[in-house]
Amino acid sequence: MPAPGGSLTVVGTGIEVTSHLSPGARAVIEGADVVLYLLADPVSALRVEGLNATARSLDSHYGPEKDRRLTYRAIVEEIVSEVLGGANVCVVLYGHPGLYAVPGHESIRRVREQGLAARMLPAVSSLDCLYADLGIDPGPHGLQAYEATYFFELRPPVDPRATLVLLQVGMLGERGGAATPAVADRFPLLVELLRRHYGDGREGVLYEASPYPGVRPSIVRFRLDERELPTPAVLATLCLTAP
Amino acid sequence: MPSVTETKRVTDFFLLLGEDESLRGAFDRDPRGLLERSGLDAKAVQTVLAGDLETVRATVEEELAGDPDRRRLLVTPRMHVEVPGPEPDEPDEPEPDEPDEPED
Repeated sequence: MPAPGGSLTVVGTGIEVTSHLSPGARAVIEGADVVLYLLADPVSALRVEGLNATARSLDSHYGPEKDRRLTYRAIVEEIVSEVLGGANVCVVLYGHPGLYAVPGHESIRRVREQGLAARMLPAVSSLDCLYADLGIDPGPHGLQAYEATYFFELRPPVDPRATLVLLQVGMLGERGGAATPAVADRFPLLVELLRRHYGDGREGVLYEASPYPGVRPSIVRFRLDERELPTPAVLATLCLTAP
Repeated sequence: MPSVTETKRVTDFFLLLGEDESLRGAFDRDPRGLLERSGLDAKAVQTVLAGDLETVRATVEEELAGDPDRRRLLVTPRMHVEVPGPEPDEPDEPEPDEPDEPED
């Protein structure tokens, strides 16, 4: 006898709002009883709402100073509660729903724990866009990728020959739901740490993929020993390419 | 050339491209041609053609801010990953209200 309750599918929109949503993800959104979303771009949110009238944002769980771990717990509770109530739920996240994204994985774990069906569909991530836009192939020298705050605070060992990617550098050191001016103060400290590992002359790139068709990504290049460093945007990724 | 529904907003132009693969292809082949047939004003056409991320994003946000039904979609981009550190305290549960005294 099947367990009572619904099911969960976690999908990603990709980054570019007009062409990255896969046909499979679109079909799941259209067919779900309940659609819950967390998206970085309002055009993407409008698309999802246009595909399913039940779609609603999970953004209200965030607060500027509320620890994101509490936010994630609340988000997961809302998702799991809808599934346990019998709904076939689709959760839509931006980019790849499982890449540097807690709520999707944790919701799937919790739903499966209840004996119900849960799955994740892969999607285009900001990292995929970075490979294409910056012309990087991690094959020859390897790739190290970290969440920026994790790298900054826990200092994992680095391989200076490999490409380094630090995601979410625009939220460096932030535990709440929004960036504060302190990010601009922390960023030079991160760059100083990188200088010690990679040398003065190494080039850094602040990168942000474009969500809009025909619109260029944001690419800001700088040397690690520059006096006037750029300030990372909220969605920026810092990349140090292999020498 | 596929026909394009007239729109006054860059936001809606992008939504149209998302819903119609033939339009998306037409945009890749001839962005200026499609934009000029879309009904967007010259300034909006030029904004998209210039292809600067910050300017296009600002245009979309301005359009949404001026639309009472869509303004709610203007939110800070949110992160979905945890950061290191001690476990946060759960907020205190609010004390239950005292039941009202029954009125005579």
